[in-house]
Amino acid sequence: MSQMTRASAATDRQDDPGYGGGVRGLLWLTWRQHRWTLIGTLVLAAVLVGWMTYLAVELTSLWHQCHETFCPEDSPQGRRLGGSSSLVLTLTVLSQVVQWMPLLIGVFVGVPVLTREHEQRTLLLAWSQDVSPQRWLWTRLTLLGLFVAAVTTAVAGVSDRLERLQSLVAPVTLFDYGPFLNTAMLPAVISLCWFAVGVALGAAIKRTLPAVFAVAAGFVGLTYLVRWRYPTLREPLTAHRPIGGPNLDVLRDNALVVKGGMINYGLDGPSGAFDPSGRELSGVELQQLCPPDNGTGRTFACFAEHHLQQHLQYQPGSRIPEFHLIVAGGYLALAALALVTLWWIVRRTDLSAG
Amino acid sequence: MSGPPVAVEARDLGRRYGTVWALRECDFVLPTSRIVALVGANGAGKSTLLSIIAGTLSATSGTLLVHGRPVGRGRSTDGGSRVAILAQDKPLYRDFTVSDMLRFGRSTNRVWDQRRALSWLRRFDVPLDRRCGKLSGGQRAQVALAVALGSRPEVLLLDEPLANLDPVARTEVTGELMAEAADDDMTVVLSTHIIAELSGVGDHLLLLDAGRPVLTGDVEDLLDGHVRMTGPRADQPPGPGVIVQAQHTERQSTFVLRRPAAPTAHAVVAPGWTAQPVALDELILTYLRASARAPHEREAAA
Repeated sequence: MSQMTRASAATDRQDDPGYGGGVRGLLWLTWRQHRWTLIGTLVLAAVLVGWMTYLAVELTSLWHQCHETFCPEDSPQGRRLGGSSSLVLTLTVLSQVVQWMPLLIGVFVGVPVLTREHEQRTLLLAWSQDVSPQRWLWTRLTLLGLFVAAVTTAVAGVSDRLERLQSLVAPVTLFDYGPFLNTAMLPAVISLCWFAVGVALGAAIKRTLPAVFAVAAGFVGLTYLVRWRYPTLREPLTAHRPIGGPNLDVLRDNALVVKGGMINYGLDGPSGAFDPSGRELSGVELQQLCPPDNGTGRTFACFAEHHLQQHLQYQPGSRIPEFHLIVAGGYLALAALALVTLWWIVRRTDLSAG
Repeated sequence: MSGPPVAVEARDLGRRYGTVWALRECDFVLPTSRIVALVGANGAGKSTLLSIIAGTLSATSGTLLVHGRPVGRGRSTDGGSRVAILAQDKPLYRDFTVSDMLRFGRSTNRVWDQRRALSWLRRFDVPLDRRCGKLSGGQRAQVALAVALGSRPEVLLLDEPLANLDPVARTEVTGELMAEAADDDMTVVLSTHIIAELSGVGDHLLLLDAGRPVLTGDVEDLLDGHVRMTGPRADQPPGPGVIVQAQHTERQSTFVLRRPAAPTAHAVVAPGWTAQPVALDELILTYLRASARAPHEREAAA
């Protein structure tokens, strides 16, 4: 059929070249299929952002009231920031929500992209139209990925601000696991990673519930792996601190103590104390030097009198951006692996009409 | 001599699931602008063949051409022939309304004929604002057909399309489908295992048995080319032709013959013999029985 005849026939038949097969059409399809998930995610993110912004204003106010330094523990502001006050509990809960947000993204946004199609057997319908399976998949993934990136970046921005404010008003370090994970770009990167892993596991398993369990298991496992390994992603620095002396400067500015810094009382007696020459004292030596005081506090003073020291391994706060990049790189590599696997699975997926 | 334009051509096509061949040694040609009846028992390989033609399933061996272009799995139809498939279970997005399904068709196809899709739904009184999950089986089939027809495919593959329809709706749908196919120069391949459904529907036949094509051709030509001869018991029929089936009683023999390609007068050469035309359903059953016997005979000969 010539182009002219084809065009004429199209007019007669009300053919509509419209946006069929284009991004606009797939944008509508993606929205129509996932609208409740997207709206739910948006509402949850808006609540989270709004709540954290409100708390950030509260913390800023406390910081100003405490003359822009740590609030004393016995002050009204200090009491609001200490123990199990409602403010602290709320901050803890919100911090946990931000940490678990990537799992929610993976389970509710990532997994259903393909499992729902498999379960309703609509994949054959979708993939037998003019849009190729790869184009159908990657356009939808791009659109959903952009949505996830936008929403989680907003959450990450406010979360970052909140964690930094907490480190201004209370003696917490941004290198601790919770604040470390909730600052900079990590919440957004980890969310994107679990979105990709969710889609890939959904494509591999083809059933929603098992895929959800697989994502949850993977998330928990990787979270604990990261928590265990992140303090030693780079060789820690070492330092000696006189017992009873002032805190070391190196431990200020959000440093993370990896090892040491404490006198441990084990079955073999106390350990973890060093003489001024840097030699670690055995439990027997330590007890001979400073006999147990049965709780009078004399031992600690004795340690200080003998200029005993503690040995520390730590990561300075200046390394936080570098550690963020390393962890984010790991998650991005996992996301890339998931996407390559997904491409391979879709390429190999055979669908029969029967 | 050039034959009619070819819509689908299979060359030594095969598809294996594990160690089982669902399709094997398939060589056939389906002409354009015809309604092709794809017939076979359950498990004969009909859905597998349709899926390969639609490009959603890869072939293990051989080549399949649609309008002269090789079909590959997962390939978009940019520049190629437009093929639509309606699966056996008529999948639809359950939470979409019927209108949404039409918009789905419009969103995912380069060409979309909204009027055609709407007119199909109106013909069968399918409410546009109802969710697909709440439609009856017959209505779901009509919506799936509307989406398939709205995309104006050059080749429309229908896998057991009449399975969910009542007898009246079956007649209506087949009639409308034939009209649509005639209006649009569309090739329709319609699979079924219910031979009674075929009456007056297909004008070309592809009969599959155990994954192999056992009979293919224009229905009229096939019917003209076969004859049933009945007469006194004899080992051979009195006329020329290939014996497709021979049945004997003590006094009588019945042969179904495939006549030679060259036109010859089909004379009854012996007294007492009668020649009768073969009906389509009878012809199909004859070939299916003959095909089922063939492996046993081969085994016996071996």
